[in-house]
Amino acid sequence: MKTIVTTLAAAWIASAATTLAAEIGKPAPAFTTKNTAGETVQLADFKGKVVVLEWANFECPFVKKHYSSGNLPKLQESATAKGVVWLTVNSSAQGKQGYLEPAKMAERAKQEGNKASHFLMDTDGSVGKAYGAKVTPHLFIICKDGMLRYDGAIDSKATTKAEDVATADKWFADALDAVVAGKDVSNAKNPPYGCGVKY
Amino acid sequence: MLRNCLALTLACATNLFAQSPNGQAAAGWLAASSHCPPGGTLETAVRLTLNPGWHTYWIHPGEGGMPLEFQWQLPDGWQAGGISYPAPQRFKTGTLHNFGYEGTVVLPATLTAPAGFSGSARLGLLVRWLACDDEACVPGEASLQLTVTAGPHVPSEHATTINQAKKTIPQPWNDRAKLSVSPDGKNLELTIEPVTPGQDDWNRFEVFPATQRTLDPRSPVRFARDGRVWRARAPLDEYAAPPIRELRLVFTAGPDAPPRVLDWTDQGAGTTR
Repeated sequence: MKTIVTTLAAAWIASAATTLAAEIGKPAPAFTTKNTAGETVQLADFKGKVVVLEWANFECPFVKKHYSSGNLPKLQESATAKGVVWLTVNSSAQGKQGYLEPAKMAERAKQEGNKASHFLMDTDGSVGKAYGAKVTPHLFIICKDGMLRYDGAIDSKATTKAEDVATADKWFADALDAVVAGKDVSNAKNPPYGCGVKY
Repeated sequence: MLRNCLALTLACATNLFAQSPNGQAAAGWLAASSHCPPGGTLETAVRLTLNPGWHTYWIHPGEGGMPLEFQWQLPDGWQAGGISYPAPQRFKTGTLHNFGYEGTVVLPATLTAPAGFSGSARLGLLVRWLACDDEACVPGEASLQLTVTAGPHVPSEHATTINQAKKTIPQPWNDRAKLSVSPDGKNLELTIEPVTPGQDDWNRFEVFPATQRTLDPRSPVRFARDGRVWRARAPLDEYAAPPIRELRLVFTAGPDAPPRVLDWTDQGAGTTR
């Protein structure tokens, strides 16, 4: 009887995690998935840490802008140096643009200069759908208490030009600084720009 | 001298319609006339032809996407009045809901020559766009040019195209109907009050928000009659940051009804007593 109740409860919680959209100020949706090395990664693994989720698709011109300019690799490097857990996520379904099988994805990520703590293969799209990831890049920040603190664009200039990175307002970077410092985020939710996630 | 005039005329003919193919589209800059009087206006239009299956985006692209970008490169004294956007269509890019264009879109722009315009002028315009289909997005860019000669207007082969394009631009309707907006939790209550009641069927119009972060692009809005007025309840954009202070709505109803635009501004905002 106990097992049945626990299983039912787990199923209810799991479905709740996917039907409740991620909301600023609420607990960030739990997830379990695999990284490019085939290891299981769960949000619960990072309890007590600031976590960044960055949706990526290396074929998208908006993602190319932020990798070719070095913007994302630099952000990843400085964030992880401060103890932030950075999770790059690819939610492309198999056969859709941006999908690469795990070993090839790891290689491609390395070529692009990606410095994330883990590169998550969200091929079934469950993590993306739990968070409401719409485009690439789409950035989320979770504070040490597990609350969602940022859901939005990487910066203010919705273009594909690498030269716009220097002059854009750094919405995501500013939000991350605030979360790391334990301060309020002033621009916590804004429309992300990019190519649609290829669920 | 005659040879120079001839050379200029040839240059005019080719530059009247400068083409550039990439980003799944071809862009061109059309002029309604090869000539323009000093201080006069020159009707032009940017024509963007998307490859089949690809689309580009409106001034409010919806979810994701990217609006068109225009950078004028005009000689001293020339003024550009701004690009006019034809009424968009609604479409989906994978799971995203968007507003924009497919096939060919022609965007009018009126230029004004300086009072002392003489000889000829080379006008430049940089256009940037994003073209997407369900599989991919590609950026496009075109550096377009027009050469114009000072003198009375001489209608070109593109004059008709440009005139037709002007009919696809939403016409301000604020003197014929008043739009009002009031918040209602996660929705906006929209009311249209016609100046002359009973004249229009606002239910037949498709509604497009031109203002970002207002109406949810995923939820099409239709107005329903309520006595003398028309009402709609529109869910707020997921990224709306209330209070909404202004709203521009574009209304389309097919080829027989010219598109319209209504504007609302929160009159209570910023008033000091």
